[in-house]
Amino acid sequence: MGEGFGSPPFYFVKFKNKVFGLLCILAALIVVFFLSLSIGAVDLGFSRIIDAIFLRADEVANTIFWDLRFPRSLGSILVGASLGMSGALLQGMLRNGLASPFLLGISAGAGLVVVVMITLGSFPLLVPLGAWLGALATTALVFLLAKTRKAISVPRLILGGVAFSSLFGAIQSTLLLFSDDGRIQAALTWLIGSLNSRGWDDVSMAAPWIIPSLIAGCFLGKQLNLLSLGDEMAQSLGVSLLKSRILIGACAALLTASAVSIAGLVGFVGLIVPHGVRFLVGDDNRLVLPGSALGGAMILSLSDLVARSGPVEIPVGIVTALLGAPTFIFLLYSSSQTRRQTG
Amino acid sequence: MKILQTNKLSCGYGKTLIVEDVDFQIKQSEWISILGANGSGKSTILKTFADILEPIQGEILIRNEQKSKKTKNEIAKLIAYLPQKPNIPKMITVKELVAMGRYPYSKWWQWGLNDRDLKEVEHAIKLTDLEQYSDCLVEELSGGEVQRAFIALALAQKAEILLLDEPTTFLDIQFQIEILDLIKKIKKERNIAVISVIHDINLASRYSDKIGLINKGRMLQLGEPEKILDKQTIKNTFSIDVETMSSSLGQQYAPYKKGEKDE
Repeated sequence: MGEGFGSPPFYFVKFKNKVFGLLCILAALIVVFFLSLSIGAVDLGFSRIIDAIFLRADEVANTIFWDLRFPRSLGSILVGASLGMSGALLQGMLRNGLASPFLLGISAGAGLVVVVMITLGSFPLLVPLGAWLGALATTALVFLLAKTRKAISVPRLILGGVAFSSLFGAIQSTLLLFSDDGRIQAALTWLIGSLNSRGWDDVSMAAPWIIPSLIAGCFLGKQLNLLSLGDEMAQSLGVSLLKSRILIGACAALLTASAVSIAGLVGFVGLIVPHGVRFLVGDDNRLVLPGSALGGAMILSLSDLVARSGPVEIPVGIVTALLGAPTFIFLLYSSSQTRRQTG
Repeated sequence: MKILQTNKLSCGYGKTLIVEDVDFQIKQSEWISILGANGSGKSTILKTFADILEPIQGEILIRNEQKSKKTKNEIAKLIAYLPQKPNIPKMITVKELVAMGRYPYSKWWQWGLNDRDLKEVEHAIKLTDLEQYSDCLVEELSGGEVQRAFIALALAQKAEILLLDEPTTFLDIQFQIEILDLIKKIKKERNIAVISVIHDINLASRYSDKIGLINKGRMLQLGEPEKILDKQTIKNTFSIDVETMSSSLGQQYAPYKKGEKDE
């Protein structure tokens, strides 16, 4: 996307090569998924995993595979794919490379509800649902404020998101200040984002929203391509600014809200992954969207693997930020270098 | 055959009226240029034709059918529009850009282009002499080539009416002539109607079949250039004096400020 980065240092202009880029990401995802099933406190070899899939392995391996590793790996794939695609959708719609899934007040809305629930100690089991509802309600509010007669105003969307984020952030901080240490830690872990002990319950609640939204998102590429030509040109090519922005926004919000309900506020995946994917497949959103879903799933699974591989498990959000921030700087640096070389 | 006409059309932004009571009509393979001072409502008319703005009053008929009864996609198949400065997407090849002109023809679930789309894209690229650039990135082309690529996109749209908002403004004189010649060629080959906003009176009168003069939101005159462009009508439109002279290219107009000639 235009703002933020120039032309990447290399690109594939021929269509076949672009699809090849997509296949590379898929291959990397499959490898990382297998590794995340295999590596852990008890390592499972290839044959033990295969046996466990068919419940033919020993009971320990079966339990580790079906009750711990598989749901968690699946969770990280769903969360990563959601954040990656949501980032690509919003960066495309807002024509801004600095847009992230949390831009439209999604993190603030989810964060506020969760902090209220944790600090008040009420309904701990309903935290994921609370996060989901908080995220969607805030996004709906931001969209309502940005709606004009015939369109959704992009500057108003961004500014509305920023305003809600700072308002809700202030309330969150106040609530945290008056809470006891244990609750602050619980809230912080959620705010940073973690996949620790996520199981079937979390996955089964979010998957029915995530999977249809991922599929729907793949069909929004053409609309995003037209929007990249500017509002007027897009309209003259048959795009309704109101309908398309509501559709794209709703898809991005559902994906992010569902991801947040599983893992909390995992940062940087939705911001960085679409940029990385564009380096491989170009700016055609028909490829960027599925590519960002695959790339997000791969990066988050890898980050989760790193997060739980040390002597003490750290929240996955810290790993994505530690990996993501330097990658971001590298991308910025390498693209500005190319600019200088090419003139 | 009238391809587009308006009856007492008033339009503007939101409820702010910019253009009032315009009666306008254009036939197949006719080129009309709209001339007028900045802020007189030229672009507003084009945007209303292109379905970017809604008419406030009056109606627009395309082939004698009300435009308001057509869907956005149906309109996109009939009317192509090039804004003054379209956004140039990064990392998009000329072929990919031109292919976007086929989107109104594809269903939402169709991911790629079919054979007919590809044929249209290739034909549009050929017609605009961009064959050697078809795999180049649009952002790496020169101003004139970018403009040609966007014209190719509009051609791939297979519309019957082409709306051009200042197609030559950011180009040097060589490219200005090249683009206008290209539009003339396309108009002839495809039998399409062209409505353009051009600031240069000389270029507008040389290339267009008709000129529409607009001042403060009202269409003063619509007719053949040699019939309607004279010292008085130009003064009424632009509030400036002109000296006219004949040349091998037709009538030429040199604007000047009162008092300037005597110095």
